[in-house]
Amino acid sequence: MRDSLTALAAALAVVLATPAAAAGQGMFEVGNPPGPGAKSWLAERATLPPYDPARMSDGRPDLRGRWGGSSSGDVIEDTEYVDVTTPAWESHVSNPAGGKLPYQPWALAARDAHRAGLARGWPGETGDRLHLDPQTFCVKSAPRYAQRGFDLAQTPDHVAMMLNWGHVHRSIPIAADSAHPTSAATFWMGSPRGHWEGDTLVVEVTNINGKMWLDSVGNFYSDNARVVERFRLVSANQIDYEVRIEDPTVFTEPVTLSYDLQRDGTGPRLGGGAGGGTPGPYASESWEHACHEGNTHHVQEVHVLGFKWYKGAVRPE
Amino acid sequence: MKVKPLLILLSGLLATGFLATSPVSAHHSFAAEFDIETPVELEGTLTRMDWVNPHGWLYIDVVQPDGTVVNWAIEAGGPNQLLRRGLRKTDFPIGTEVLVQGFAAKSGAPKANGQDITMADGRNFFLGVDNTQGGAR
Repeated sequence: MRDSLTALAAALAVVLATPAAAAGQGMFEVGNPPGPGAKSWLAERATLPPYDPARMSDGRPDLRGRWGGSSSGDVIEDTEYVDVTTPAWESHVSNPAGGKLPYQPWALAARDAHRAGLARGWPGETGDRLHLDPQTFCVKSAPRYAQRGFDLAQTPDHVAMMLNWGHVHRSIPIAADSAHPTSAATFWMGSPRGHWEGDTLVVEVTNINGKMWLDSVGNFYSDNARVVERFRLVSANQIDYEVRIEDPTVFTEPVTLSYDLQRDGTGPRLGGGAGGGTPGPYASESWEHACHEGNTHHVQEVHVLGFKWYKGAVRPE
Repeated sequence: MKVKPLLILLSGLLATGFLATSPVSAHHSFAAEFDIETPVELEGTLTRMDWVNPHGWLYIDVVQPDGTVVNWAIEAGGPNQLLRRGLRKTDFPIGTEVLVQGFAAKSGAPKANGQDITMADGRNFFLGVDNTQGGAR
């Protein structure tokens, strides 16, 4: 063990001498420019030439493939650098133009209460522990599922998105006469229904249970939300992914989020959730990620620490 | 075998941004469960390895200064991440001596988020959650 300690000391000495090496391991360092959000993507999109995508036999654009995640950061609004776990990042909100979610007063207070109780070192925290990001418990929502990337399969009447993460999947019927289930049936991922508008796949999501946050720091929507996702190929390896959230219980106006999804392995953002940028013969394969298998430690810690289960925010009467 | 908090050294490295290993990603509940202000270095005997999702867990017996033994649980990356880095469960034989660096749990339980592991034969591995991976939690 003494040899290993000596080696450790040597390794630390090397790191001290070459700080650039640390950046290659995904560390969030102070002083870096903000990560790309809606503003950067819309600016890039504006420079792209018109694109005529490859098509399926039914004439629809061929969206099939493995798509990397929409964002490696997980704060939906812009944020300054907080600490090594929270880098500076541009807002993913393209509308309203200021990049802030247009909360009603009660909802802003609820969001701020969520954030004050995070106990993760963010400014303004009270030190109390209120809720943890519900995603900690291996659940996903729309549109947050897209953050980690997915395999997309496509037929004329269905589009399937299959995440490596937690084996979450969604099967989206593509049919004009396919009605949503009764509003009494609510789901973490909601109920999706798709249709084509020209070369854009449009997915309407309703029946959302309202128990998930929009990011890891307390931004949220309710069970009254309607989410409309728009997927359009803008180059061989990029999908313009636009999300509109209408939630008259929480927001004063509809929200638009703007992302690009990159075909896995073709761009710098490699959050596909499988190979995730690690090279090798199986880099593009999804391998089993049984999220509940070993999550007991986290569930126990959360209870010991005093966090409460998030049941959804309710607008006061 | 003993607990070596190394608080001064590693806190200094954090403050200057020179820490060698990834301190995990923002979408992780790491910051709520573990304390980046409390880096720990644990030297002990591997007693168990849970090769499970979403994170693997190592358990090591650490002898305290008073001679008592505390079994620490060390969070690691998930099996898929460890596999793709070239690690196998057989790289963690029970009874081997290991040196783990990480961050202590806020609860005060003998748990830590593992960042780096040095095996008895001198091999050294990044143990944590790869920030580009996005597949952890």
